[in-house]
Amino acid sequence: MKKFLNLNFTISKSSLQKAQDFAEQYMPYILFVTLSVISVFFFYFYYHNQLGLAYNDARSHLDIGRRVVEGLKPGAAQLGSVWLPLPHILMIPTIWNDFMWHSGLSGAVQSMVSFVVTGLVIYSLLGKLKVGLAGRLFGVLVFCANMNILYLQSTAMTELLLIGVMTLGVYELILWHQDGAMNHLIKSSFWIMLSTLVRYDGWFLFMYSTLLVIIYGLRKKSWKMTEGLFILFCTLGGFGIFFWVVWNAAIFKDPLYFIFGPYSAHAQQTQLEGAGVLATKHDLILSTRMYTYALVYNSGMLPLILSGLGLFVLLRDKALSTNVKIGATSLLAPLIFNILALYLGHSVLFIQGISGNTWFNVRYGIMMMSSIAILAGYFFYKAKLFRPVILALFIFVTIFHFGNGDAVTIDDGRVGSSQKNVSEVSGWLNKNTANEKGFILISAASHDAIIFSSGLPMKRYIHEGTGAYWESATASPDRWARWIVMRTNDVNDQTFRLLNKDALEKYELVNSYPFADIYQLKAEFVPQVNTEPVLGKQK
Amino acid sequence: MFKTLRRLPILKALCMIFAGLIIALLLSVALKTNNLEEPLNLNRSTMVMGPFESSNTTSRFALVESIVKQSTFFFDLDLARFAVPDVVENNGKFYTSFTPGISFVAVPFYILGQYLGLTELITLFSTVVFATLNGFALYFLGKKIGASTPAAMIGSAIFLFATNALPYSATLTQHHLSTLIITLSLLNALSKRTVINNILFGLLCGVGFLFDFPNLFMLFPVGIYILASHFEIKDTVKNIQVQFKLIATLIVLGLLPMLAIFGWYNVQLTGSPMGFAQFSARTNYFDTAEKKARDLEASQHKDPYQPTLPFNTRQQLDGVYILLFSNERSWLWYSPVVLLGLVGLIILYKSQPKTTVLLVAVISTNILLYSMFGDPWGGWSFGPRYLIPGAALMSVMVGYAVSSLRRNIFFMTVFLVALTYSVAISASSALSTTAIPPKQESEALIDYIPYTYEYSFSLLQSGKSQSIAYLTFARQFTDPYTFYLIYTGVLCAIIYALSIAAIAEKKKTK
Repeated sequence: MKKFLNLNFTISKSSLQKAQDFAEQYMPYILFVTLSVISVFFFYFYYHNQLGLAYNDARSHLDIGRRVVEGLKPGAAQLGSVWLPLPHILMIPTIWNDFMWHSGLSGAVQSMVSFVVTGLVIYSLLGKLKVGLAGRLFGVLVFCANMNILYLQSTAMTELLLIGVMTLGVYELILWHQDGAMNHLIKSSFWIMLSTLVRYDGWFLFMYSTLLVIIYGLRKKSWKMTEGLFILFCTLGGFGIFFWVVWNAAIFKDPLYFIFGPYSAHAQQTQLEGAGVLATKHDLILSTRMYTYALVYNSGMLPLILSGLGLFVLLRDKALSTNVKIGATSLLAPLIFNILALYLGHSVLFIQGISGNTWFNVRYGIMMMSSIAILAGYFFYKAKLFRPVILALFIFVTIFHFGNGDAVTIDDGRVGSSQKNVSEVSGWLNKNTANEKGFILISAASHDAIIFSSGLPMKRYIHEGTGAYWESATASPDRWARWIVMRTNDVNDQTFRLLNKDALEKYELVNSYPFADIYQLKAEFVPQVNTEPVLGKQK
Repeated sequence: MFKTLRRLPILKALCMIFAGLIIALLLSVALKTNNLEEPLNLNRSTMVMGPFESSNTTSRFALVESIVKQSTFFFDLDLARFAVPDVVENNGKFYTSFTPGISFVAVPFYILGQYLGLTELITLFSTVVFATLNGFALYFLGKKIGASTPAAMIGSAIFLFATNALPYSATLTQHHLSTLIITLSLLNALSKRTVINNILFGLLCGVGFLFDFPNLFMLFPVGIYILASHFEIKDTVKNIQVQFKLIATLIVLGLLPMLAIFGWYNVQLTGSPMGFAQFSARTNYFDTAEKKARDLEASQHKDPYQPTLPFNTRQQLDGVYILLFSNERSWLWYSPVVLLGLVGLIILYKSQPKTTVLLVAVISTNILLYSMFGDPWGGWSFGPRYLIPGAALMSVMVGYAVSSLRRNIFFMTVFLVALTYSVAISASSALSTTAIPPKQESEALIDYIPYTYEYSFSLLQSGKSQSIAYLTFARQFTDPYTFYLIYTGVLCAIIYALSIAAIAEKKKTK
């Protein structure tokens, strides 16, 4: 009777061992396939519900890439100085295709690859830290079951690419701290160099990593070795920064144009400071608080707590060498950078309810996500008996996270300063100019989203990057531009600022929208206007 | 649990009855009236400081009255008005938006109250009875995990008198019964797996569901623990033999009757067993035309990306802050003594890691769940009322910590200071009000009301208390504030005495 009331089964230890060996051997491949499927599914999901291009910046990134291959003045110089060039360079092989441009896939594909790679690196790094399979998988789960990550990997934004190359850089750096093999240091400097070409967060990681390299050398008590390591690391790692300075000097005749140019973050922050909304500047507590909020809203409360515990356990773990622990502090570089950037006034971040009613730039909080996943995985592994509780709580919270579609980055993209609902202007342009001849004069710096959303070829637009066309069209618009799109009376709009206002008499204001006004050349002047790119190839 | 009870000698049983009466008496001080002339004859006034000051009591009370007087779950217009805003309207009929369990349990008390001519008072007294039972259940839990007798008593006394469970023992709310269900489930989980215990656990889950939906979430870790207890793993040289006891399936047997009752209740209200009132919007029938227009306008401009589930991860940061750290509601400000339960958990982990994991799971679920809730404040309330089940378990752990560290001067000093403070805060609400507005609402009021326990103190200091005990027995001798000081003193003295007994214990904690 007792036997009848029990369900008995036997598992042979050898088959268990085989299953474990199989998992160890093939898990990276299984993860690769799983993460790839997730990545493609979520790209399609956000493409389908039209949120994939919600960010104004995503559309601008795609336009920059497109201008390199198509427009009145295509070429590498179109990479500009506003943003670092790697994301746009990576678009070049695909952006020529209209679908890849307008679907955003040309920009998203690098985010998607980065998503998959980062997941695998998290898995691998935890393995190198002697974390068992469960902990490694939990780390990957924390990373990929995050709606903000899944959303940003589906867009043409730069966050995932940066997370990917930074995590790779940190991964190799920790391995180098672990075994001292020079190839890890070289690989680390390569990935960090790439990160310096994605966002300025990478520059800080480069500086921080350099400091770690120096500390490593000094701990070995060899000045010569320190010097050698420093030169080796900085030569490759610093190449991106060197390239960018030289690029700015060559194209814009000012090596620091990216810092002090009219479209730089510095210029933007100066304006914000003037408007009194740069509250974090010179306020370390507020800066820390704002970034902590951004961290929580991006990564979730539970993963953040677990990662905090993970950091504590990792730093106290006697099984890890001091070198590895020092190397692992590079996981915190994005945290230090973002707080410092807010404190120094080089960055701006709004939290709804604390500073205004928007989530502007709240996505900066996602930069710690891979570090959080790694540390959470580490804690999960060490928590042993608590593993079921942690897993259950994580799944429990994640169900509500997904159930409510809680992605603060989507709100950042669709509400407030990060978004621009330019459909009215772009719709008008598409409807009224697509089948007509003539150029449209517009400032790309102010209205890239309109250019993108209009669906017109880039060569229909005369913008700041078109050299002689721009200069001629702003001086004599009636000879070059059949339409002008600008924010009238806004000196931040380069078209309005530089336009020969007298010529506006030859235009009629056809429509006025929240983001821009549209002027059309009066019919009697149309015969005189240039409708062909007659200026030919320009330098 | 029952074995333990059977073994009790008569003297012990008498002592327990006596202790129960004392506890009930002390908790009854929190019962309030809305009839200052005849304090025992309560009326339907929803005045502040009265027994019906908050709608989570009125709506449940309305259901009790409706069942007894009109043999229906639907409210007539008067009852619906009394129960607003926690009322749902469907096909022109009104009913409570809460789960019906608490009201079902209160029905016998209402009938008894009718016989005694104290209908409202006896109905509200039902919670005092269950709070008292909670005290015993927590005592047994403390004993079960190895605390000494006085330390286990301290654990249950902390919950009853040093947390906001004290003021809520005089309201017709879900908090005490939910806590009782969770505590009994834990006692069940820590017992041997038998047919009876499994059916009982299923029954407890079902009853918990009838009391409040979130109980299911909090009972989930207990269920997993119990399910895991049915596995027996034998490690041999070549194989691992796993045995699963099929009596685990009997949990469903216990669960089904309660689910059937809930389904039947829903059918009566909505025509569907899955038609839960809790998922329906509250009625706007009693709203002013102006408010209706405002709500209509708001609904037309609704954000399509607005969260649809009641628990939202975006709220978590605010939720955790409100529940654990803010001066509006939080353990830190209202019952810091329960935080010492963490010490107890750490100590317990060394000797009983599995039990610790189970307790941590339930407490964490409680905190995480309500940190995601849209209204972690619990409306106009006192302290973190949603964390009352968690506070109960933390209190048991404080008792365990006292049991282990009773000779540690530093710990005991911190404990006694935190205890005195916590009792003082909780008692202030017991004698005044549980309706304290959240900060946002407080600041928007034309006549400002403090959003912290400062409000209950200000009421007492200005001579306002509607405690029946005060009005009936002490009004002619003293003012409310002095009465409050005496009450606090008595509660503290009891726990101090238990602490001395705990310190004097010679036996080592398991």
